[in-house]
Amino acid sequence: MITRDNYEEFFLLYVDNELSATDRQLVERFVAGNPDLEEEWEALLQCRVEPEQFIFPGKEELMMKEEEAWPERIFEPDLSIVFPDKESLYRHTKDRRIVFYPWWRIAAAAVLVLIAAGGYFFLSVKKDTSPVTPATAAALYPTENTVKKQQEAKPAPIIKTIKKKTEEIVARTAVKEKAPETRVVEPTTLPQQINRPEEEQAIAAADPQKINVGIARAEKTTEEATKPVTPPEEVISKENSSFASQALLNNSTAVNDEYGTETTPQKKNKLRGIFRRVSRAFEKTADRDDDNQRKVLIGSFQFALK
Amino acid sequence: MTEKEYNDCVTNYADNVYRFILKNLRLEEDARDVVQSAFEKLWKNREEVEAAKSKSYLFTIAYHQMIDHLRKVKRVQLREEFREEARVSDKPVHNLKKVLEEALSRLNETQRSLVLLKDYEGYSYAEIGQITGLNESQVKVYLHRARIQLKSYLVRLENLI
Repeated sequence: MITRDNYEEFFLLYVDNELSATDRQLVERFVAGNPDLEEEWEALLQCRVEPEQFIFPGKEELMMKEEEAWPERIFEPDLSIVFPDKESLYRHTKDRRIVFYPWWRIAAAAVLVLIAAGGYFFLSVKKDTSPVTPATAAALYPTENTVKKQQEAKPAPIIKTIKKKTEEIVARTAVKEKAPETRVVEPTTLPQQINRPEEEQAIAAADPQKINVGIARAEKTTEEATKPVTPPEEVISKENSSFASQALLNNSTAVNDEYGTETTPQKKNKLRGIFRRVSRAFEKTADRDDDNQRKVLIGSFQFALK
Repeated sequence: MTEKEYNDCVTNYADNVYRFILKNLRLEEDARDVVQSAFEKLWKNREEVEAAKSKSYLFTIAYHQMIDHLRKVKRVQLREEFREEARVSDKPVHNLKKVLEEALSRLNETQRSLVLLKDYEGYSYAEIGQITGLNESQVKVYLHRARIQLKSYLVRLENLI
């Protein structure tokens, strides 16, 4: 029931249009019966805001069709605006970044490594097949037997050439025998020139009487050359050996070099070196952090521990 | 909500939402942005929105976006109010409609929204409560306080004259 004590709420509800038709009539009758409240009543009625007619200007833009995406017209980014001092914003922490690899990434990496390693081994094994045979201890460290064999194989042609030379010397001295003029040869030079068959010619040419001696010496040198060089000391002392034997020796060592140096052990060493380097890298870097951070450093990667 | 219902919504309610927001913000560009983003949200959520409730849904979105917008520009808003206050005291306005608008602008945004939703759209206390997130009795109390505030402004101005 509306009274002078509660009329304000009724007035407000009336203004808000929250009263039923009968209540509205009650209020209107109450105002009529209390003219002193009419001013307040009128003032409240004036506090209603009359709806104005506003027309929204962009209605067409709001109309949409099905399957149509909302157009990006409200906020269009102005890409020409850039922050001028980006350098001042960059930050770098001293700690290395921890990369959390999901398990499948590690698995993929492992597979790749295995394939790469397998491929490498496969290729290296294939390459090795050709020079495998001579890689024996005999080739590396030639014994008396092998040296002998090699020397026995070679002397034949050398002896031939030496014999040829001695024949030439004989022939020449025979020609020179006819020539009357003689040349004085210093006897002191003789011993030094003994080992050189070329010089023998000169000696022989100088003194026809020594022709036989020259021939004898030449034959002697050939004998020396054909003699197998059994003791290793004799092989090494080049001064004592003849020209031919030196040539032989050089030849044999050259052969040894051919077999000895370019063989598989080098390859083996290369692989071993790689493994050693890898393991060293791991030993150097694989270390658990001291400060109880649950991560392990392997190579240049850090792994978190669970 | 179908495509047609959405487009009907644009035809029927775009103006209503716009004037409600414009009365609160008093800046056409800002009001337009708020209405556009409210309709964008309605379009994106049209599957979940029933056609019968589309109007109050639209007002709800628009109201909350408006509140967000007002919070962002609060400092600017306050300065404008000071300026207007000074102007009013200098030059009293005789036109009732203009006086009422001045009085309306002096209410806080919640009170003003309640008055506008009531008088412009004729929403009941319950419906206003749904839009603004207040309960029915809160709406009633806030709205009544707003009316009394408006009335006292009008009466005081009349007394001054």
